[in-house]
Amino acid sequence: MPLKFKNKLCTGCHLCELICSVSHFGEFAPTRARVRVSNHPLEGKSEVMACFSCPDAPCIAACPQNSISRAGPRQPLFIDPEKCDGCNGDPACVPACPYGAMYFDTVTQYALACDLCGGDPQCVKYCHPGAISFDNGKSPVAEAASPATDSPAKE
Amino acid sequence: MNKTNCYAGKVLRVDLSSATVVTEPLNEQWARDFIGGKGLGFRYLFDTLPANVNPLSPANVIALFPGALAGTCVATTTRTAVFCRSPATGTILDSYVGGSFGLQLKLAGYDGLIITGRAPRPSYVLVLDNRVEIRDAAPVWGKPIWETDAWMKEQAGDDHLVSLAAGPAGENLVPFACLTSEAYHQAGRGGAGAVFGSKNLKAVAVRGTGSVRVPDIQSFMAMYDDIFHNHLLTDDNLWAYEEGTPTIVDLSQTTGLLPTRGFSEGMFEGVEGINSTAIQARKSRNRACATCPLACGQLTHNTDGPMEGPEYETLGLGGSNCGIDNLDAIIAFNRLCDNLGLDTISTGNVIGLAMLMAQEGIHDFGVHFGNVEEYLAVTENIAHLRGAVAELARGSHHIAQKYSAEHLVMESKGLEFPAYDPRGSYGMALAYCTSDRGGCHMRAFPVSDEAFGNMDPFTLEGKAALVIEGQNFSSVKWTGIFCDFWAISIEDIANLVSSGTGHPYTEEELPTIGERIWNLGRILNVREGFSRKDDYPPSAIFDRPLPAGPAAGKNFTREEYETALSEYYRLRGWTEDGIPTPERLAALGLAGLME
Repeated sequence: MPLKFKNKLCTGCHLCELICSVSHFGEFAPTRARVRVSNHPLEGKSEVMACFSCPDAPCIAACPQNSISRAGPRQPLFIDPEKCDGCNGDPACVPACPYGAMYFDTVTQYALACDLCGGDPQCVKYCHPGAISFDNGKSPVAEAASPATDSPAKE
Repeated sequence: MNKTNCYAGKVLRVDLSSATVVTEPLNEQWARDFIGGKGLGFRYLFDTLPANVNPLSPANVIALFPGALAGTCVATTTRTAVFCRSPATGTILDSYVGGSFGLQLKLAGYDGLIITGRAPRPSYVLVLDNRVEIRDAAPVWGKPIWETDAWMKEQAGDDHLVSLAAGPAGENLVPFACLTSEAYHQAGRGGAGAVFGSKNLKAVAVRGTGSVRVPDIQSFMAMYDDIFHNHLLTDDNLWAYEEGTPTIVDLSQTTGLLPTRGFSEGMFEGVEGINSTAIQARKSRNRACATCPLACGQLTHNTDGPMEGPEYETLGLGGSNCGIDNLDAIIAFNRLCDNLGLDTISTGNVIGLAMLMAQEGIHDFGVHFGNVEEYLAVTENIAHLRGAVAELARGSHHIAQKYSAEHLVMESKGLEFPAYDPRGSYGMALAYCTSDRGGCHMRAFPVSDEAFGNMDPFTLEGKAALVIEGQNFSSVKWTGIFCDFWAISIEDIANLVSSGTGHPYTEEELPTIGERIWNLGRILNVREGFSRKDDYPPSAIFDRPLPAGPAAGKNFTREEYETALSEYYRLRGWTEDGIPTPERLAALGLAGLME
């Protein structure tokens, strides 16, 4: 199961970005995060976004190196570092993502997508307001979850 | 570059007069001795700011220092301290702003930014990592802050740009002009906005794309995971998420120290219009500063639009103190102040004073308690220096002197009092009057032990030690910079700062570092001519007891205050005149810093 987002609960604190980057790269670097927050302070709103392995996953077809794969819809993407060459700094997968959830790491020159931290997403543990949640599928709550809360684009 | 601790290792200097930009290495000895935030900023200011400069002259300095731990995941530490000589008080000023400005500055690669001189024309400083430019701000000169922020984002083509900007009030050199970041975050007190204005500096806008590291990330995260879940997300702190500062309104009301009608009363009959229940009825969500799960911002709205707040101080000074119980009006006042660049505390004070002067028949500025239309008009007119009320923009101290209303005014060193009337909690008088930046509740907060706690609020006995303990502790907290709303232990501060900087600070050592910072602040103020003579409350504290409520008829005498002040100096190791002794300074590692 992918991450779920409730933008109405997002306070705009960016903590998920810092936790994500430190979990993957050992440093605090929001521009290397696989989850991103967009803030609109004047309106008092924020959107949090990460790859949720959408049904069509157009990034997969867009990749000229065939480096992106997944076990199936709603399963995390795998970006093969052996194949991904960063498209010489102009990655095709980033604009292909309709949700703005594919990012590019200028340090490693690899594309970045949420990998669910191997099944134990760290950002969720630090999101006290509950804007990001995750269900590992083992709990009955997973089945009861409302489809409305699955849509990352909605508040 | 191989960064081995949480410091970026660089300080950026921008001179607006010569249009030069210089990056220099962080002074590592100062970082060790003063950690970051308040301490490090004071140390750099001591070196950069000459004594006795006109605060609104090019010789004044603006320094921006985020906390030492800014850029890490540690909650609240992206707060940024703004330093200068205050045009409101003539003291040193450290004023704090939340949001994510400090995060961006640190990610851009700087532990601090020091701005000197005066630009020949309206300008803003743009920092995009190592690209630093002084840019033309003519298109937004005279414009409100929210519009300015949007314009700078558009110019940079980057929605993630974060700015700290002055509004029309700052451009007009109003001595209580604030700086605003991300719409509702302010470096509120002491007039840093006017210092920006005097430098033809509209804003500093920053975007950082770098990173912050700590020496041993595994142990750092293991420690923080424990602190985050077991020491931060606790009832001691989560009041901030649930209700935020408006929860204080009812506390102040029931203890009889809620500033009401120009501090002439301590209880407000319209309290239900401005208390936490009223705020919660309007609340749509929580908003946070970067890294903070407490998310104390209570997003409300009126018909003009949203508002993060109003906070307690605004509800008190802009509400009850002006006789206003209409939350729509207070939200409108708050939006005006944030957008035009006015400190709500001082603005609410000066309007309340003007209203009280009218009521007492001293002078009528055309503003009267409870009149919403006048209240909102005067706020705009103060920022724009329009009409007869323009002189209110000079602050309460000036108005009281000019119109012989000194018996009514509530300020120390020219900085108006926050929303805790000292007549209902005596220790606050000592806290306000010994504060390094004038009347301020953010250095020591004895009211939490007195009127809001278990100590007798109606005595000054034992309060000197309490105030000193608070001042030293907050000085340490503001190096992190840990927010006031996180009741963090000295042990957790020591562990986090040690783990982040790689230098082992002990629990025992930190209060001494706090004392060192406090004494350096005093040195800076003594250099500007401050001494015992400046550390007294206004006469109303002695002569005009509150008329009703728990504090009715309560006041301490001038003799009792003299005794408490002498005790404060003695415990500080200062002379009877409030001057740090060479022995004490030497013991704190500050030898040679005072003539």
